[in-house]
Amino acid sequence: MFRKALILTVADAFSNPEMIKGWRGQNTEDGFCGNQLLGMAKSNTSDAKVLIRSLRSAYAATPISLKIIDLYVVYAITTAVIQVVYMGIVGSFPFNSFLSGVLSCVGTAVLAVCLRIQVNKENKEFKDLPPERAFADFVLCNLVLHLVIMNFLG
Amino acid sequence: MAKLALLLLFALPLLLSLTSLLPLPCNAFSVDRPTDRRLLVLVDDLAIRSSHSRFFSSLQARGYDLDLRHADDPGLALRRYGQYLYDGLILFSPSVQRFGGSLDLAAVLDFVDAGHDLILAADSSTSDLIREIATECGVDFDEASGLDPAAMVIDHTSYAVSETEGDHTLIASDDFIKSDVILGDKKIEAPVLFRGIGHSLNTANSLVLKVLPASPAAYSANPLMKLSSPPSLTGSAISLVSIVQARNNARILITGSLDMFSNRFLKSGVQKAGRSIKHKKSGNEQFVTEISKWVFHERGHLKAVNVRHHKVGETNEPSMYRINDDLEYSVEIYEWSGSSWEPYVADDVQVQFYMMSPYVLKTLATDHKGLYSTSFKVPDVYGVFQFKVEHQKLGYTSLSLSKQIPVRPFRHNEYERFITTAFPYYGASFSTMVAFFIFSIVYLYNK
Repeated sequence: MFRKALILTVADAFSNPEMIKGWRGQNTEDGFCGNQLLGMAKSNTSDAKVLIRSLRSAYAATPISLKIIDLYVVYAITTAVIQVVYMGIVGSFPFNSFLSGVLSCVGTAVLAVCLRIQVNKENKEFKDLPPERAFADFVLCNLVLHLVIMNFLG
Repeated sequence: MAKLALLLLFALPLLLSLTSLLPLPCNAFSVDRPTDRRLLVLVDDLAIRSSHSRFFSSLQARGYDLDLRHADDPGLALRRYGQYLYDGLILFSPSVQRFGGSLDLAAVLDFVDAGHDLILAADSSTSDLIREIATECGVDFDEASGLDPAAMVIDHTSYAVSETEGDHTLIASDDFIKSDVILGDKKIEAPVLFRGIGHSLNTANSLVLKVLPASPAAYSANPLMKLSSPPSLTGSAISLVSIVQARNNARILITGSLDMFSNRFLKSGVQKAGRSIKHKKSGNEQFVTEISKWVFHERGHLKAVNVRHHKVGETNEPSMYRINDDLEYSVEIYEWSGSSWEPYVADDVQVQFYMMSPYVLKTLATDHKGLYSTSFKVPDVYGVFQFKVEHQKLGYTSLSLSKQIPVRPFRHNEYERFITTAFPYYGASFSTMVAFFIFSIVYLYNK
């Protein structure tokens, strides 16, 4: 599911034809043949810059609702990472609490990504599934997840 | 009515004579009074009654009821109607080929297996029957003396000095086992006189041990013949006196010399070869008295009572412990002194908290009044444990106690709550819930 989501994000970027054209043009202009090594490295950095810029501009075209979901996923993963670092510092003593803390974040992120796949207009796989239905599934799964987390928290 | 009274008048003397025939039960060996009371002494020559009278009278003076019989007396029986008639057996009949009555090898072994005690004395005329009994007890009398009936223990370095040079078969030995419980607190000063056959211990038998080993220079051979081949038994492999304490605490004494119990040896003076001290009286009397006290359970018989355990700060015994509980364990151990139970004092009694292997092994502290106690923490492992006391000490009866006790884990509501360390985890869990709530609102109303 994660992989699929990533592919779709990249696909969003590629759906912008202008960007692809620009990227190709840059490449042919520099050319790989007859250039010095320094020039090659320089072209690679500028390639990366161009790639990031084009990804950003492509992402700007993403609908606002998907951007909200992305923000939510980033928040959940950041919280999980913080907890893992904290556990590395203080030790794994209330291990059940640690597990429930981390798993609540991971579970939240997974469910959010699933929601994103289902409500994405570009994704033809779920075109028969109405977004309202997808959101209802998401809410139900979250309720179950947090019930379990509460029980396991200690 | 008158007829009935007449009948009673006749029946009463008959009844009284019957009861007098039955042995009185109060004299018998019991758990409360573990000393033997009734002894059967088998001899192959009734002259032993007078030649060994000092030994017998010392037993009688200590309260034993001796029944001295000829070994082939046709009325011999150790048990009747499933009850043993005697508590101990003394075999002073080395040459007997077959016992009389219902007594045989199996009956003697059953008697020992039932927890009764045995003293067996042999000499150079020892029969196969006596040898077999000894073999069953883990002791092999010198085989060579079977072929050569006159083989005896000879020692040219630690013999007893006498008027004539002699053949050095009268041995003066003072290399006793170092155990106060077997030979008494008082040191035996004079050497013990021994004249008889030697025996070796069966190496497979871990219960038999030498009380009086022969000196390294001793050997077993016929004193009248020239040695044509090396003797089969030599040096400290020869045991003069051995004891066995069986796993059921039956005690056995085996010696190759019947003479060492005789009045002549008990009264005789002794001078060991190579020493200037001439003792007026040999150590035999003290030796045989002390060792017979041990054999007949006048010493070294332990009992454990009042096994108690409870949580620290409580007095009632729980049916179950929880992991990491602190508990106290105590047991009272007494030693029978021949007339009363005295506190047993030792610093090496240990208790095990045992499940397949000991999780806790602690030495119990004693208050010198018989009470042994300790306290420890239940390990962080749950399951069915046992309190075990396995006390096995040289000369003492083995003590083996075990008491089963389950140990349970924490209950669901016994765990610690709101641990400070876990607050970030609680915070994270609740913040994801809040985030979910906010996300839902923002997602639904973002148009």
